[in-house]
Amino acid sequence: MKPYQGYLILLYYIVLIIIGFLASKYIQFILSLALIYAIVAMGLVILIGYCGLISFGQGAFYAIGAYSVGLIYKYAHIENVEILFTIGIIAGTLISILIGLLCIRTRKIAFAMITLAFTMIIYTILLKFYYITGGTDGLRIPIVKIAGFIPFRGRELPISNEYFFIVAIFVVVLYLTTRIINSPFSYTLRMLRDAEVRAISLGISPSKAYLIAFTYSGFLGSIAGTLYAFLNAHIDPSLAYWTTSGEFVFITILGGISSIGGVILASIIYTFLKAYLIAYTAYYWQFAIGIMLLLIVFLSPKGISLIIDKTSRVFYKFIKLYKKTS
Amino acid sequence: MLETLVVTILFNTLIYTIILALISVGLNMILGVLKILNVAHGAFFALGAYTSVTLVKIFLTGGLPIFTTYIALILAGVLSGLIVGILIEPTILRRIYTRIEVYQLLVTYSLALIIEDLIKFIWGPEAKIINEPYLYLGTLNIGGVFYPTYYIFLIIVGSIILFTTYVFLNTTYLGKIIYATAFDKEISLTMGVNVNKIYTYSFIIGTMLTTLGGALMSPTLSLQPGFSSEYIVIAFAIIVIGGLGSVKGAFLASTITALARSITIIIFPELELAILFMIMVTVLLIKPTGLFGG
Repeated sequence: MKPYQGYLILLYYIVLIIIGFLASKYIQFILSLALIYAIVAMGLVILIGYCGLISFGQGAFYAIGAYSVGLIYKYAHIENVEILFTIGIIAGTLISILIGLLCIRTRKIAFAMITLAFTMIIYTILLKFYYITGGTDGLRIPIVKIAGFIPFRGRELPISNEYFFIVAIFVVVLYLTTRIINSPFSYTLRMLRDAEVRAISLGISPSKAYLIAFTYSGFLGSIAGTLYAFLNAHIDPSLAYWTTSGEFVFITILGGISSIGGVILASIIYTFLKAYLIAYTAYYWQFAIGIMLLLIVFLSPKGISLIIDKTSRVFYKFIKLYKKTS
Repeated sequence: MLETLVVTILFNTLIYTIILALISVGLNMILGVLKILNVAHGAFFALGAYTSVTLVKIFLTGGLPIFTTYIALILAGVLSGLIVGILIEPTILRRIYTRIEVYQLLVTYSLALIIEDLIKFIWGPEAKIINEPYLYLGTLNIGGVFYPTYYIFLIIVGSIILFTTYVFLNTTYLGKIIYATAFDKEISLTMGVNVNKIYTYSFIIGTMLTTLGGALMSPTLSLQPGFSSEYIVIAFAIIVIGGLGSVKGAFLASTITALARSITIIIFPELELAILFMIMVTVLLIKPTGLFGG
């Protein structure tokens, strides 16, 4: 890890906040949604890109994060955002450890399928035990308070409070994930992905490493889920449906599997494209996204990260040129 | 009381087995031969169902008697399967056999999205119902339980289709070549098998099975956009339980899950859908390759 990266992340925060001040409330909402998706996708980068494990079960932790917020509000009447947020993350992480212990015993397609099964189990539980979870009606998330007194949804401000909060969490997650990717642990994961038997013979425990990676992605999933609950103010079981998880995997692949910048860009492009396609074409947004996907797969095999790579290469060339001339 | 309970469970199991087997055997065949997990399979199922809506309507408005609509259902299944197979395999899927798994998933996922919206474009987003074939046959008293006779038709036709597929794969020359290609593509190629053609054939057969399933189910359903995503995920669960690529396993897994579901619906209805995935998790933990997987 380069020493200036910590400051770089502070810069991202300031840039995102400035963008928030310039943009309308609608754009802020969609951008917040994109950042939430990016948080989940970063967890999937660790899992898909670095472990080679395709998880179709991120929706499970997403829903657990969101529903623990909703249920705690409904039954314990706690309105403090910090408490709801913390409990949501703890619940999601604990369950991701439990599910992870079972899932990491499988690899490849079996892993994808077992994670899919778990998210569907969570979905059916949320759907069928409607006397607790509200069923398809979902749950309402109230106007929550920070530190007990500030209203979390300040409509009179030019920038919504959720946006501040989500951007702050996003930046912290971004910092954590880049730290993990640049740490020796990520090399352990890469070795396990490429040569598991060799890694075992060198004394690496695959189940331990995979469990940490899985728990981390579950942790990010539950963070995103709680944030989604605050942002959308309404949650329903479709958060745990397999298509939600499919969407996350899809964003990650679109971003080029192992590139953090790529998945963030991919989630922003995807969310904005979806929002505007729904606004203009109502029923046919999936068609446009499907065509776009086919084009990306056939024309740019590495996803959006290829575009980032190329532009950054051009950028570095300019820097070199600049250094030579000065 | 106990008698009616047993009859209900057995009959529900039978209906459910046929439907699940029609979807999952096709999916598993495509996975076994083409080595592609086809996410668009559920969309094909929907396409079969919607085609049968149109064909039955054409038959009825054309003044043909109602019993011909049963032919219309089967015709719709066969036709839509054939058209989809011929259109999609040589143009899109053939380009991705050498790519990594993730991209194959992505391509079939985008195909599913495109087909879902094409369905909305052609048939409109509102719910479609054709229950003429369903109502025409009336009900039947089986051991004190009243069942729509249409289900008997569904069971008979469905078993004929599945049995024909089984016989075709196991006894005919083409069926044996398909097995051989699934087992080892390179060796088949050196033995003079036209692998591209075999891939197209198996894709058409797999697709046709699911479109037939959709067409046969359509009179009992109210067709809405997006209803196929429920079926595809169940089909995934079944092929995982039965073993990836194994036709026999898919059929056995359909029976097991159908039985489990029929029993749970009576005993503990909240877990109706969850039981399927609980079986799936258990099988994956004990034998990650599934019951009949290699």
